[in-house]
Amino acid sequence: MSSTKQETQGTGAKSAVRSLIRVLLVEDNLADARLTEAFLAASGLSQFETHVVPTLTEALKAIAGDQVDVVLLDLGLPDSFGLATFEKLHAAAPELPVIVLTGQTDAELAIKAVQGGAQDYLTKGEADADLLSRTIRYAVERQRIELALEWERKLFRTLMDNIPDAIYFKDLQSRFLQLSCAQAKMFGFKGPEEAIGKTDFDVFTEEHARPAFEDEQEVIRTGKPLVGKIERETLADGRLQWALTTKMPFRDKQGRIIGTFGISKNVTEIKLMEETLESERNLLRALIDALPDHIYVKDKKRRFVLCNNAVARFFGLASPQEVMGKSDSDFLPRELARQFEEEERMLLRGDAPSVNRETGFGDRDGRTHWVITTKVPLRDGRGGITGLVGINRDISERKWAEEQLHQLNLDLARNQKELLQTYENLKQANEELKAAQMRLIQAEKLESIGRLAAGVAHEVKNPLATLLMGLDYLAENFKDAGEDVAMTMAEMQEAIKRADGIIHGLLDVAGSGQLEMAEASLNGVIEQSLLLIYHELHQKRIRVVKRLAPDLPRVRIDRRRIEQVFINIFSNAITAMSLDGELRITTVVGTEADGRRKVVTTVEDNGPGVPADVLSKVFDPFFSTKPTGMGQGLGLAVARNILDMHSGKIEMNNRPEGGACVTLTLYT
Amino acid sequence: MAKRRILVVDDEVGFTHLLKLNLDKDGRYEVRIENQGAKAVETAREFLPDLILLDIIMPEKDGGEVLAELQQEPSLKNVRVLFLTATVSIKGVEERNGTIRGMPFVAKPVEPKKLIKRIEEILNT
Repeated sequence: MSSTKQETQGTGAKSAVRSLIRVLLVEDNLADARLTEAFLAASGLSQFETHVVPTLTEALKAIAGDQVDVVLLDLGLPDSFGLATFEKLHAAAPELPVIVLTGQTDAELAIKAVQGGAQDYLTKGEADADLLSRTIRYAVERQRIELALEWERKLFRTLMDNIPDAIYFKDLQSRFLQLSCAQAKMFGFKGPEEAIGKTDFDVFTEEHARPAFEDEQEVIRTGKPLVGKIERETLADGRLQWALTTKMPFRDKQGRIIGTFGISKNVTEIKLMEETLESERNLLRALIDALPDHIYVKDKKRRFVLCNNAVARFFGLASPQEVMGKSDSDFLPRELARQFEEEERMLLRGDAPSVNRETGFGDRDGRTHWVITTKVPLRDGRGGITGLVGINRDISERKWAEEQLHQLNLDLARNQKELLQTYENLKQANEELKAAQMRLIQAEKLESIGRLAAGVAHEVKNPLATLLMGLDYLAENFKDAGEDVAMTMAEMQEAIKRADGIIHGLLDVAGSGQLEMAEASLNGVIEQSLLLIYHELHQKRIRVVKRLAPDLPRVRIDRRRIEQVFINIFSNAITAMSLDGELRITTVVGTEADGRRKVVTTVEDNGPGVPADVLSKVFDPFFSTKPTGMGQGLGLAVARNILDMHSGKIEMNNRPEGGACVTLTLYT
Repeated sequence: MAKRRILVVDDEVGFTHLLKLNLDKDGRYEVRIENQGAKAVETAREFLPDLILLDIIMPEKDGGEVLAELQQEPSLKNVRVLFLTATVSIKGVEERNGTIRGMPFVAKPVEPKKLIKRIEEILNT
């Protein structure tokens, strides 16, 4: 007995929740009730508080208040009898431990009650205080343990039946000992019991089953758990899934490994989502890396948290990783970095995004580069600014091309201007060439006239000489032949002289010969020439008005030839004017645009002037406006020839107030 | 006073004929005509003139050559020569101070009076 007592004490000491056990005694026999009460009160092991009720009805009422730890139940009661009494009470409080009190004849009935859920039974009259007390305590304790077990089992089953993950226990050969409903169903079984005893090889393809098996054997061999491994599983029916598995060694009480257990979570969706995300990320990455624009994200402190290859290349780095965490000032020229900093600070403060802003900056070679930037703030879920996103585009090439185009346009305009100028020059040169050609033709004409004249002169002069000799002889011999004969002779002599004059004129045009140059005063030359034609001036009563510059510089000329020029010009003027005309002669000194000093003489008459259509021909040889017989048309041609030999100029114009004006220019 | 002997060398037959008429009419000259330049020296050697009126441009032999030959001839070396030419103008005469190769000349056509005046000047120097 003592050993039992010891054990009971030990158990009681370990597990009794409360030392006071409240006992509901359901007994209609008062004597029995008193006796039992007495036993319990006498018990030294536990303290009992006993409440006695005589009927089942009252018993049911008593347990409803949750004031009872254990029920001592007599099955024969006034309102209920036999096993039904227990069943009714047990139904009302299934967790309340019940000890059935029976008579000696009812042992069979008592056993049925125990099978139906009663904790124990006692035979009336046999139980002493000790037995009674122990039985009650055991019943209470057993009921408590059963309830706890029941609870844990319930927890376990709840877990195994409901959790969507695969949870399993396997033996040393990786055969399923237990597994979650979800896993069983995943394998295509109705429930776990169908899977027990099977292995992965029965439910997975060899491809997955083999490594899983080997992992488990590794856990068994080493005792080291395998935690959080992502496995790609191909089910027997071909479905593919991803699982996050943890495998642990399954040990017995002694710590020996008797198998494995583990949990495997289907992360296919997460994995697929992750893959989708990854591929989206890769796509995005590939996209931004492929773009030539600089794309980047900066945090609030303006440090790069993301950028593409273009940014790295722009900074002269191999990969975007080298840019992370750095800022513009680590790479860019100070001026540009400061500009960006300013605009980004404003943006981060909440100012409007900067869109398509063009920024120029100089490189080390002094060349200006251009970027066009767009920056927008990056906001979190609550709208707070957490950084910025920017896109820069290097538009230097375009800018340079534009500048080049601009330059080309300017060049083009300049070239066009130059071309125009060249055209003008060419036109002028052409005019000059034409004039020179005209002069050349003129000179050739004069030269050929000269050659002709020299040839003709000899041949003509001889017959003229003969005629003159003959006429003179006749004149001597026919002195008395009358006035008509004398006049005829005189006219014939005059005709011969005129013919001789033409020959002389021609020889003068042609006979340029050598000039005898000497310094002379042009005013003096003019005075001398006037003297030589004094007779003609006097005949026509021409008034001469001289305005000769007193301090005229001396010019180098062939004095006699220039005299001839003046005589020719004066003669023409006199011929053109009627009686009482006025001949104005002016000399002035001047300077050409090229700095040469010149003496300009103008000879003006108040005759009828020169018809406009013949002005250009007046210097041509044999051109004359005088009536036939009055001039040979050589005077101005000779004058022009002489001026040419002096590198001077002669021009003829009409005066606005009437009359002609000849301008002579000679250089000092 | 003996007549001065004048030889006229000129290929212009008409001119020489009329010149001789005018000079003869003056009465102070004995005039001989030679129309071929090539025969001028030969005629002069024979005629021995005081003055030769010498044309310059003539076929076969021109006045220049004739003058050169005359100056080679001892008997004619000092004969006076007056060139009478149609090749120069009056102006040309002035430019050349009235001489060709050191000899005086007169440009054709020339009035007989002016020519005689010139002849007299030469013969009296």
